[in-house]
Amino acid sequence: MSIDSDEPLFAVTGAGKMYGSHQALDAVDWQVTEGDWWGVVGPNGSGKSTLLQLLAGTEQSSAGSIRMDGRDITSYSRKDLSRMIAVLQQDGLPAISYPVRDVVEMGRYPYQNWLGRESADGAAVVDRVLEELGLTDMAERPLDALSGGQRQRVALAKVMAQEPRLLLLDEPTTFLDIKYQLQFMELLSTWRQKNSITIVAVLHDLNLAAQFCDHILALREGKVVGNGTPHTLMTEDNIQDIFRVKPAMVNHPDNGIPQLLLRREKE
Amino acid sequence: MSKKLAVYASAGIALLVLTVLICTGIGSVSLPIRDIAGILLHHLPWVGDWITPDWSAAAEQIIWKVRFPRVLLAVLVGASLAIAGAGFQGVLRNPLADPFTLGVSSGASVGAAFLIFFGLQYALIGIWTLPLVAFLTGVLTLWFVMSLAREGRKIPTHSLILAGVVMQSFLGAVVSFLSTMSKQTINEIIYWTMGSLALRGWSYTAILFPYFMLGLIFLWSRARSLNVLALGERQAAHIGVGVDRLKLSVLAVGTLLTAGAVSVSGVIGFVGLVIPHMLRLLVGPDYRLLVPLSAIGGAIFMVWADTIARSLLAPTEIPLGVVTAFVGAPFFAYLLHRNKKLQKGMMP
Repeated sequence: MSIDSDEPLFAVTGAGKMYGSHQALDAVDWQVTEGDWWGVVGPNGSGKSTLLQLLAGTEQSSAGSIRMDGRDITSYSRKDLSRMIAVLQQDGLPAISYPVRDVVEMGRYPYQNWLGRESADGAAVVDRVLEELGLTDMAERPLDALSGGQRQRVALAKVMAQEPRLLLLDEPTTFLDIKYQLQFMELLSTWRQKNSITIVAVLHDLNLAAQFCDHILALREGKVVGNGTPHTLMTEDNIQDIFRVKPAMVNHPDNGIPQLLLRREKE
Repeated sequence: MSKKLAVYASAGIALLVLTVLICTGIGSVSLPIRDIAGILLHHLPWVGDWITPDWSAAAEQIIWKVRFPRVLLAVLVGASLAIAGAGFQGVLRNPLADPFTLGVSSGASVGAAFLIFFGLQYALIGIWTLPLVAFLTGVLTLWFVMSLAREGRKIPTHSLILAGVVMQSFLGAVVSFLSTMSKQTINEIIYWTMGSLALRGWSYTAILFPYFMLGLIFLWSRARSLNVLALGERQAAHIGVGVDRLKLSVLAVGTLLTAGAVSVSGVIGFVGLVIPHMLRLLVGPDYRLLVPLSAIGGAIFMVWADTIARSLLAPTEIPLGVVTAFVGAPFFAYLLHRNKKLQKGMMP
């Protein structure tokens, strides 16, 4: 898959999205280069998830355009898109009784013909992914017998089996405790280094975003209000502009990355 | 997966063959299995020549002209209804969906009852008229039930079943009304609404067979998509499933299968509900197994139900719908009870 190095993986130009009379996204311009890790942040209702749905192709923009590899995203078939883009949602996988291996294998769906066969060795991909995420031992267990953290690992395994170039994450760590949050982000990081995939993650946790992402896009009321590296974006003034809270900023003792501490509004 | 399917399917087919042989033998004149097998094999091409007939001509008449076509029709009706149920459940992700509870069966029966009432069942396109009209009224009913149950973009489990039940009783009343109004055809409509496979002969089997085969092939080919759909519609779309097209096509094919079955046998409830669920408990949720095994399971169930219907109180025939309801309704109650615990409306 060779593309021009200065050609972005995708380009969002003047994209807007209306739901009825509600303007969920308004004139968003944004370019992402292959291999980048972006965090998308913003208050509730700022249009983060909508932006993700537009990129995933499951919603269509009502204005502007989104181009993937120089082609309009609406010109791809559902299966074509699924070979390039994988999505991991915040609610992860439902408690269904399919065994773990079958669920991970569902990630191979876009590569299979109607008989369920594929030209590449899909079973080997599934085996490797299960191994990498330490799921081999529970491969035959039904999904509804696993804990929330384990289930989110299976969800990650499924999108890894999909072998995408672009991974979209919608608040993937919301329902995880801090141990699993960190573990999950590290797994992503390892995967990205190995396969040089591009990641766009909607994240609630600004500190996590600052630690893991190279770039941050900030939205407020459907508009882009910030676009830059964690160092340039994570300042007291910016945070106050975006979230309407006054934080205390510190630098992480390990690596100097800006981190945010919350202040009580009333002392 | 394919090994598991091979094991279950061969066991199921063996059971089905045994069922057919035994049930063909049950009746006012009881005949030994050896003779039945002989007569049936004798009618097969190639194999038939190797068998010397050593049975009476009367036995051959009873088996080949009367009992076997009926048993075969039961096989097709049961299999059609069961895979239609499996399809509805998969695509609506609703364990209580089946042709009967969604009102599709009743919808199809209204169209058919109108035709019978006006004596039009062979108008225009001969024996295909009844199945076609039944399909159209079935589709119309399904569409109506689903729009009745829809809340925004979602169709909640309970309102879907409620809407189905409402439609079913309304349409049932329409059919009853038609049968009351009709003097000469009263028996035909009433008998037909309660479900019967009596006196159908080979032509009905011939009508239903292509419906069933096309339906089976289509639904089986969609099994992987139905599996992915169990993750939820949005997630399925993210993995490359054309969700809307899948839903529409499976619902249409399920309705077609139901209409085919209903137009030859009348309304027979609960088969599409009971069979896929029993198989789910046995082999798990994978539709690659569920679709073909439901066909086999539905066939076995229906042949036994029909045998009970025609022989338990012989010479009186119990309507087939009564027999399946005696088994199906308690099972439905059990599922409803279990479903309350699975509040999300997911598959068990």
